[in-house]
Amino acid sequence: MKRYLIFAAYLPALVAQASVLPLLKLGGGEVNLILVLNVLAGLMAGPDIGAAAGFWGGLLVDLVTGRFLGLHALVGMATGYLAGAAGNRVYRNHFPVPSLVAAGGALFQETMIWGFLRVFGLAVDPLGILRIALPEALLAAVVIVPLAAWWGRFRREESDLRTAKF
Amino acid sequence: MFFNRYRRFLGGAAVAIILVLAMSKTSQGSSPWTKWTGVVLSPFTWSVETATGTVHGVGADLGRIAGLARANRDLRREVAALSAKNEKLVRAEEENVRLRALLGLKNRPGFPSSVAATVIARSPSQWFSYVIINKGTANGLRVGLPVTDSQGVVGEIESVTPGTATVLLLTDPQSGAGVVDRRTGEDGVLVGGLSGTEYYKVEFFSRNAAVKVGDPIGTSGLGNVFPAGLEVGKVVSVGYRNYGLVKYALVQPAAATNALFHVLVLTGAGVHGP
Repeated sequence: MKRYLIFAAYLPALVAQASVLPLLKLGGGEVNLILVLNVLAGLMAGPDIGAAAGFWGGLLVDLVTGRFLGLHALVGMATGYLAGAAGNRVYRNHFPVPSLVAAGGALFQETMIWGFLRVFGLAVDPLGILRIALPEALLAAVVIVPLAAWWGRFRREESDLRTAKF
Repeated sequence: MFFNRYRRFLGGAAVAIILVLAMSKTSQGSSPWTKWTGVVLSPFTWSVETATGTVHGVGADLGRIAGLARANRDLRREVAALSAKNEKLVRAEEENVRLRALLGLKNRPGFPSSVAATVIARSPSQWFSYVIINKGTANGLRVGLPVTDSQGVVGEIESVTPGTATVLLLTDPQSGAGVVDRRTGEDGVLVGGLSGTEYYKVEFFSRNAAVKVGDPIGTSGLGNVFPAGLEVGKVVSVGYRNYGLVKYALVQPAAATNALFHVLVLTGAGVHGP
């Protein structure tokens, strides 16, 4: 039940993404909190929740940017689903796994967006993938670690509550 | 039991002590008894004195440490408050500098009438470059008006509501502007799409354009959006694309496109320039 809190977490993440985070350039890249939440939801709650959360987060971005409605929703949904599918095959709580999945998710998501923009006829620079996706992947790999640790503990506490005999 | 067994010895010792005390009391100066008593007792008295001094010192030190900890806590609190205040002042000073620069630009003779606005949101996607400002149709803004900061042109208004407007930045892939190399007078077109960089790309109409690094680039007025004469930036590199058919230049923007806080919307701009 409480896993659905992640859907609410997208709102403050979006506010940060549209205000503070673009100013905090780290290594030429930005922290993409929406992407991190997509991956986190998929990794920790499974592909279905991941896909739904990714769709929701991407839709919010589409509504704010006001262009190509559905682009980020579609790509976010795919990213969340794939992160969930990856999470079902690995020990999701072990340290490097969330980082690797987040980095992979960032590369996948930005490559997909770049591809769609090219299909839509926008002259986006091919090197834009490297300039945007690589720093974003590194930052996502770092940012997801405390969130995944928190989520893991959170999930354990939730399951403890479920199995407790009162 | 103990006293019964040693009562003779204890009694003798007590008598001896009384005698010694009596003798020392009655004698003038220091008697041998006193000297020897001092010698025997001195290690013990020294130990007790030292221990007492140490304990007293430790107690005093603990008191001092507690006081210092309190003072340290208070000072830390004060430093935090002063740091926050200082941070506020620095921000206010930076904002003051930016606003003064905008005001200077606005008051320049011949500069078109304009509306100052504050940036309230930015693009959450790195693939698109735009900002949202806190002025809209209620302030006389409309789609297509050019926007600058104190240093140079930043973009044009893409959409507008009564209270806000979306400014499409020149770095956006859907953006473009007519520009001119101010040194040579050669025309070109500025295109966005260099996602993830702060540079503009300018493609020149002539393959043989004599553009070189350091050339100042300004708006040309072609395209009927940006008035001629606005500062765009400086050339940082030159190259060819499309198999050498098109000459292009990377331009370092004059405007702070990565950290926009305040902008001017040129409401009275004509394409013939300020």
